[in-house]
Amino acid sequence: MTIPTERNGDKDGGRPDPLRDDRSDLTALDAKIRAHVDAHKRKNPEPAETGKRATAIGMAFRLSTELVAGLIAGGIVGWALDHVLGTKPWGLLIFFFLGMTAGIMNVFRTASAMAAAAAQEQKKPDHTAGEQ
Amino acid sequence: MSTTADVELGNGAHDGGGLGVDPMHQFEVQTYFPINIGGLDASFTNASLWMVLAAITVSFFTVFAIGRREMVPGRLQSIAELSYEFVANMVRENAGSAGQPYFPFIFTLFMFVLASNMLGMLPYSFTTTSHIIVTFALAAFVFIGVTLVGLAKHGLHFFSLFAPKGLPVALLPLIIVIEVISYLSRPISLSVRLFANMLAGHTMLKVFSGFVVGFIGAGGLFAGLAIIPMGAMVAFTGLEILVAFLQAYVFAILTCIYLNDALHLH
Repeated sequence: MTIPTERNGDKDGGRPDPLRDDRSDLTALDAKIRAHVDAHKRKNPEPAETGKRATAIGMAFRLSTELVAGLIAGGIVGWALDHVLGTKPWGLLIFFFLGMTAGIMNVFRTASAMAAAAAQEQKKPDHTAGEQ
Repeated sequence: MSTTADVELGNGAHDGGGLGVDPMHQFEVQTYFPINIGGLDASFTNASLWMVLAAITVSFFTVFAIGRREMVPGRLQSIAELSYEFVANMVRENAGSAGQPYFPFIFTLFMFVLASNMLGMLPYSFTTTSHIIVTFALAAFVFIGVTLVGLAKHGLHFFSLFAPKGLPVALLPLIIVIEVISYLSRPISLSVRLFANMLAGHTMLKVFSGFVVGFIGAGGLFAGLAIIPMGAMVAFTGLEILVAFLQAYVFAILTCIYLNDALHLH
């Protein structure tokens, strides 16, 4: 509300320092926009919430595929070794379990990377709030 | 949504019987022009057609959209610039400055997968990424490419990727085998994730649209109930568009992470 009157005053007056006035105008506008955005965010927290839920489904799916992929890779390696070395059931058996281990390791790594990302994400909003 | 329902009606008439819809019919590969090169079946199929269309769509958005190069971008130019910045940031954040030379490849990969997924959302279209051979070909290309980059950059030292530091020597053989399997599982998880997401989503849409057709076909009070699966389908279509984007994003970001591993051995 104060901005238009300031502008009028600027035009009527002798314009002592238009640059500085412009900047104060901008900072006032910036503060206004920020207040507006904050109010909007406080009113409608849903979009972020749904986004979070969608990524949670994505995370769950990522973890399960990591586990299955380890199993499949182990199985293929074991089967191929059996085929080449002629050690029929043993390669598949042993590498199936090694694949399971690799899958669990994949899941563990992915999960810890996700946890690190989530911790960083949680820090971010606090940081911007501190600035304001 | 009425167009999607029409597709289902068409399919229903084609298959006949039961609920009238075969949810897997949409994934059938049909040959348009049979091509045979030295006993190899290289026919031009509906899968080939939609891959070509995906490539054309991406080319349109990236080449023609920025043709005029305006200072204040129009809608098309904005899309091209936004996607460029989006992928550029992704590469910078996940692979660092050393990953910058590989930006064109990752951008192409992301845009191709995104275009394939999004074109798959059109009624009557064919989702190329719902076939594991397509996604596995992409993932295998990434896997081999990243391994070659790592070998070229670090030589034989690249194999230290499989041996974590500070491990008892007795455990080393076991851990190396597990690490190698874990490394080999990357293209599998990359391709299975994209393929399974697209396959499951599109099958679900077809099943629900089958319910709509079935209810309407039953007539009377049941015809009114068709609104329920119809509403669910509208919601799922929105979700599928989100999944289409998310999976293209995941595919590209994992490529960046793998590239980062190969560039900076941990």
